[in-house]
Amino acid sequence: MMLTTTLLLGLGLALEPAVAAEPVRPAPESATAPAASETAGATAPAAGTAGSTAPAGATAGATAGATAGATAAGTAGAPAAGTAGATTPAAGTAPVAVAETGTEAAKAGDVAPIVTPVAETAPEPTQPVNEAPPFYSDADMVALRERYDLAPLPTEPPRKARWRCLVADPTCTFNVEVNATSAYAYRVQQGSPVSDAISRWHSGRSQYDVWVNLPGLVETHGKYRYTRLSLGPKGGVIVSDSKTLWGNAGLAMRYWFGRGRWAPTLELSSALTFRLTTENMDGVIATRRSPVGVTADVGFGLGGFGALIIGGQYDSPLAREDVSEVARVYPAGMFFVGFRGNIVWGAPALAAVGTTALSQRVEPGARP
Amino acid sequence: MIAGDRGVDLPMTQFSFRGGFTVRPVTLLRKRWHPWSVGLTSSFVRSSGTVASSTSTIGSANPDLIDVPSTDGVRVALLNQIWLSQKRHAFHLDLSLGVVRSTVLSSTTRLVGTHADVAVGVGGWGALFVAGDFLDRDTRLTFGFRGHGIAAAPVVTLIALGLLAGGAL
Repeated sequence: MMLTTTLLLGLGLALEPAVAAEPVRPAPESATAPAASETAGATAPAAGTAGSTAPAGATAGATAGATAGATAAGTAGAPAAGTAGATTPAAGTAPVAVAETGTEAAKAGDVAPIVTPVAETAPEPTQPVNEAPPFYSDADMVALRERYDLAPLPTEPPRKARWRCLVADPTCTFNVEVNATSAYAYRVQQGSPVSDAISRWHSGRSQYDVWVNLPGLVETHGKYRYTRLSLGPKGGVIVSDSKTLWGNAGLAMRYWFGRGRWAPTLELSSALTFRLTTENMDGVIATRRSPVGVTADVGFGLGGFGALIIGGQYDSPLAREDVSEVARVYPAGMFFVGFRGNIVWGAPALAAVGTTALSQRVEPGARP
Repeated sequence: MIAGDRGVDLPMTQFSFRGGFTVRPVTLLRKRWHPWSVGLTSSFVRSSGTVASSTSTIGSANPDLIDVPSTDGVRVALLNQIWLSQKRHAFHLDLSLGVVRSTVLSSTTRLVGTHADVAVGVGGWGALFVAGDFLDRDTRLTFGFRGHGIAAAPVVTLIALGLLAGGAL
C-alpha cells in the first residue's frame, strides 16, 4: 500500500509540468509511450467514470487523456487509496495498474510516468481543438466577447415581424404602413379681411397617412440587423370640420429605443399641406384652391402600433391685390393633440372614422 | 395656374383617379428581363376652380371675374416606364404623354389640349409626379403624389365612411 502511494506521488510530480502546460492537447512525443498510447484511447473514457478505472487513468496520464488520468488517480488512488484500496476491489487494483503501466511507460520512453495527484487547476476539456480553420470555437468567442464587455451573441434568429411588415418593427428592413390619427384640434383663423380679428374654435382632426419607412440608422447585433431610425416619405389626407380636406406630403421619422416589437419610439413628421375641399356657401362639399401650408407633429409611441402626438398646422394665405375678395384665402391653423395608430390594429381606424363624423357636427368660428 | 389675359394666376389643388395597363414588349418577345414597359392610362381629374373672365382683363380697372367652382378634365396618355432594377419594389421612371379634354377658364366648353406627366415611382405602389395640362390660354402645372389603389383604397374608404357618418356627403 505504501509503495503504491509513493509511486503515485512520484508519478504525479513527474507528470505535473506536462499536464499544466498542455491540459487538453496531446502530450509530447517523449511522454507518449507507445504502449500507453495504444491503451489510452480505449481506457480513457472509463477513467472519468469510476475510480475502478484507475488503470486507464494511469495510461491516459501518459497520453492525450492526461487530465482524465490525473483525476482518476487522484480520486481513486491517492486520497482514497488507504480506504478504497482495501474496501473496493476496483480501487485496490487501480494503484497496481498505475504502477505497472507507469513503470512500463518510464521504461519505454525514459521519461517519468505521467500522473498528477489531482488536477485541481487543470480545466475540464470542454471541446476538442479544431484541427482545421477556424481554430477558434464558440467558447473562444464567448470568452473574447466577455473580455471586451460585449453582449453575448444571439443564439436564435430574431422574431418574425407580423403582417409582413405592415406594422413597423425593428426587424423590418423597410416597411409601409397606413396610420390613422384621431385628435382634438384647437383651430384658429383670420375671420375677416377688413380686420385682424381671429376666430377660435374647438374641433376635431382625423388624418390618414401612408408611411414608407426606410432604414436610416441600422444596428447590427451578431448576424442580424435592427432598424434604430427610419426615415421616409409619407403622404395622405387630413380631415376636419366644415368638410375640409387637406392633402399632405412630407417626411416621417421614427427612432426606436429598443429592438422589441413594443419598444418605445419617438416619431417626428412634417409635411406640406394643401387644401382639397371645403364647404361652400351652400353647405355642399366643393373643391378649394389653396396655397401651400405646413404641418408637423411629434409623437411618443409603443412599437409600430400607436403613438400619442402633439402638433400644429399652418395654412398660408392667398390675399394678393389682384385676387378678388371672394377668392381670397386667409391664414389659418390649428394645434392638435391625439393618437396615431396603424389601421391594421383596427381601433385607430375606427377612432379616426368617429372623429371625422363628429367633427362634421362642429360649427366653426368662421367659414374657411 | 392660369397663364393668359383672361384671369389671374392662382395656386390650385386637384385630385384624380387613374387606371390603365402596361406590358413589357421586349421581355415578352425575347423571354428575358428588360427595363422598358409601355402602356395606356386614362384618368379623371378634378381641380379647384379658376378666377377668370370671358374677356381680356388687360387694361380693365374692374374686370368681370368669375370664381369658377371647379374644373374637371379627362386624360388619356401613353405611358413609358423605365424600371431601374429587377427588384420587387424597384424604382421606376414614368413618362406619360397624351391629351386632356377639359373646360378652360370660365368657359364651359370642353377643349382638347396636351397632357404630360413625369413621375418617379416605387414598385408600382406610389409615385411622386410633375404633370402639366396645356390648353388654350390655360396652363396647369401640378406637383403631387399618387398611390396604388390597394394602398389608397383603405384611406379613401375610411374618409368616405367618416364623412358619410357625419352627414357631410
